[in-house]
Amino acid sequence: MKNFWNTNLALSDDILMKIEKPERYIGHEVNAVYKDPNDVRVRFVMCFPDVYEIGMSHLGIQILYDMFNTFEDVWCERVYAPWVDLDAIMREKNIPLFALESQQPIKNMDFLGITIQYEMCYTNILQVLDLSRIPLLSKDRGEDCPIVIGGGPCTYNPEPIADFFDMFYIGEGETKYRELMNLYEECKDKKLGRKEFLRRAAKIPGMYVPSMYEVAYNEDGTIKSFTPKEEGIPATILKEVVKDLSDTYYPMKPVVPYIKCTQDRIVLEIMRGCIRGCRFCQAGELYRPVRERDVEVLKKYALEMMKNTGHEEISLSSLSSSDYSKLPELLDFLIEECSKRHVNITLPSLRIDAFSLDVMSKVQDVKKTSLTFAPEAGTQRLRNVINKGLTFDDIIGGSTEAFKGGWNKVKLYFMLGHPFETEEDIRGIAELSNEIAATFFDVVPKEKRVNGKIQITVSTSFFVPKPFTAFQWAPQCTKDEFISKAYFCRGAITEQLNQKSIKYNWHDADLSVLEGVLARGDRKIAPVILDVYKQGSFFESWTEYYKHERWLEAFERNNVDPDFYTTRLRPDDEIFPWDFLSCGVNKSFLLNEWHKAKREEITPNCSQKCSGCGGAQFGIGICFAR
Amino acid sequence: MSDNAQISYDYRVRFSKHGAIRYIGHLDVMRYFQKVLRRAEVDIAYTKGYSPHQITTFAQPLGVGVESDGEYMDLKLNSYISCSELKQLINEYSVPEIQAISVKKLPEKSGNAMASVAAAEYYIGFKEGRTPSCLLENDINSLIQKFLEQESIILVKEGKAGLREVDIKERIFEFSYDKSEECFHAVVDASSGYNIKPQALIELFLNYHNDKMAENSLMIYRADTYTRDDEGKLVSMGDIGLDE
Repeated sequence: MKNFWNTNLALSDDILMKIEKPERYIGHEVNAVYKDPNDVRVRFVMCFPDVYEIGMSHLGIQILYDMFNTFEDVWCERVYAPWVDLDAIMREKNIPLFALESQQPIKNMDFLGITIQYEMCYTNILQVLDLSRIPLLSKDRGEDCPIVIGGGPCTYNPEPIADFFDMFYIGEGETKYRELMNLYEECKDKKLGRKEFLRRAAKIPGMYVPSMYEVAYNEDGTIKSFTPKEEGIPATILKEVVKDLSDTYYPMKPVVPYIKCTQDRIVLEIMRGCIRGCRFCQAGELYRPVRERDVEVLKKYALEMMKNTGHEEISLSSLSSSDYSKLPELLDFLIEECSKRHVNITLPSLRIDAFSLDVMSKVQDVKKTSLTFAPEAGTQRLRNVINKGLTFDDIIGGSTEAFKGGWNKVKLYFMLGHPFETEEDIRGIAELSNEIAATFFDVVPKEKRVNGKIQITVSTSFFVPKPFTAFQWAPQCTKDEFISKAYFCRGAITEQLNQKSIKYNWHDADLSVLEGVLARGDRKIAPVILDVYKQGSFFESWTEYYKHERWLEAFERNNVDPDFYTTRLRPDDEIFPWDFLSCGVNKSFLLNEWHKAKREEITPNCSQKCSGCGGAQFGIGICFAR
Repeated sequence: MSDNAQISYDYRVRFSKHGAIRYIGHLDVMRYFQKVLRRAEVDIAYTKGYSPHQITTFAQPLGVGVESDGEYMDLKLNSYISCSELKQLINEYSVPEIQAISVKKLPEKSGNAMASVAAAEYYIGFKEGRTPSCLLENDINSLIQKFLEQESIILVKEGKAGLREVDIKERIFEFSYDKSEECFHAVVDASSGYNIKPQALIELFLNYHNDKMAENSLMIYRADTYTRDDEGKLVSMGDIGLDE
């Protein structure tokens, strides 16, 4: 018996039998890539600093995992944040964090790549470093440590976490990793050491090495200057973009997990970028210009991925799928091919119109699904301020068609705390919801109403201004302001005639305030994050593990005033901590957008008219479509 | 699709579960096979209705952490395929730790995999350093003899209706100790409602000899799962049907 009982897993049978979901830590999934360590020159571990089921659902890692493993000289493995139960055991028993495929310690690898998708995972980054026995601060790391490199949307303001990383990759990962690997191999051969590698890496486009830059502050705490320490290191770092989305890496054989993950399906990324330019939206600026993937390529990918994964569901991914030019053709194809294979299609939130309702009724049970609208603001005036091109008529017209088609559930998403918001705007949320309910009762005769009812769910989140948006200058609301806005909204809803059909949810205000500090923070925030981690916090995106008082204590102990980062109105000429980065969209364009918001003026979307944001400098995409 | 949609073809797959994959739970193994069958493009039958699912049945669930060469899954297909071809397809699209050992085509009326389970055969060993003292000091087979000579062997089972006492004396079909392999060999009832977990058997046995075991001390391997033939004799579930 003993002959076959033993496995090569990093965790003992006793541990695996004791913890929740041992499947998170054993690897061996279908399509996981195994290589002989002796056959490769670089060991790269890709990390999503959250639990396995969340991390495995992320397309970006799947793309890079696939790309790295096509490099013959590189073995890319995966690691996720061990859940709290295993975390405690690893600390108690001194077990180092390991990569899923080889089950070997992270510390022995060449690179630890961490994707940073949301601010609330910052303490998990420290957890991963700590369990890997890598010093938390970049400056304390020696030649025995992997290079810790960050990527993902949060790296567009990397400053609060700059001390924890050796370098960041700014922009889309498909373009420059080959060059970086070549440089690494060269430095390794010549035994130049990590410092020299980082110095040279900082000269590769898109690479940001925090230790190569010096920050000076004004007396009021704002940034005076941000300068390279040496000649030859660029003062501004422009993000990397994929020029041709139809001719690049795509994970045709994504790893298929055993346990049910958040995204347990094939994800087909149809385009990058968004034409819309909503002024609160960071993704809408970061991923410019809009680039579509060729529809024939997508069809081929879909078939191949169904064959390679066996998943029973496929979904489309993009920031605004309704804007994909060949959407009808693609959906027709998918509906036909998927029904042959008993594969379901989950639709992304499409703009509600005759076309999308027709498609939705073909692929889903109308009675079970809800209609989703994201007006984000309750009045047309405020929707003009935020440049959200969704009108009252769009919503009521779409609802009317949908109610005729049998839908009777509506989800509405709004934000509270936009710049220049008034009580009238908040009341508008209630009135719009009421109007939708009234439309239902007008359109659907009594005998046709399922359970006699319409269900409207209104959710509001609190607005957090983000870097590289028109609202990066805006003051964020205080916690008390947020809460009184939510109460006002609830009150306004209960005053409506159809209030019984409307259910209202709102988000946590503490988290939004903290997210605001981290989103627009500078290097002075790093000691606070470190402090909170040392008090024992991580998995803070899970409300049960979020301890707000620890943050408050840490701000105080480290002499950091959180309001400086959130509620302050920033002057037009302030230098922001992230200004040394460029996502292609010019600061002058964003400033003009900020001024236009104040004047309630809208800006047409990229398909209507070019507004000269700066995205055209990449020479590709929608900027050159006409 | 096919004009005679009512015709279906039933197959039984015997499969293994080894190595790291023993930590995958039963529900996830079921989901796993759905994906294997889709990858392999096996012409599996689906239920009717708004959310159709593949028609498969699994025999007695295997505990997490247990290895096995005696797992069974019954499939209903829409078209004929030879047993060897089906086995090859499954193995091509499955991980090395889960492999089809044999495939049989089932006669028209054979009970489904779950309902026809009668017994399971286990090899049970103690992990290094966790062997209870009574086993170190005595001849284990004579201890087993004494244990089995009791008038009744009462197992307390936890069911939906609460705790329930079952006399399992007649439900232990074989229980012995293999000295060379250093493990127990047991064939016990595994029918639904009367399933005897190997851990429970060893626990009862040790309790009878005033001993107990430390947490997680067993290594368990399921060698096969059995059903009963027309004469009531135990036969391997994998012996039902024909290799055609």
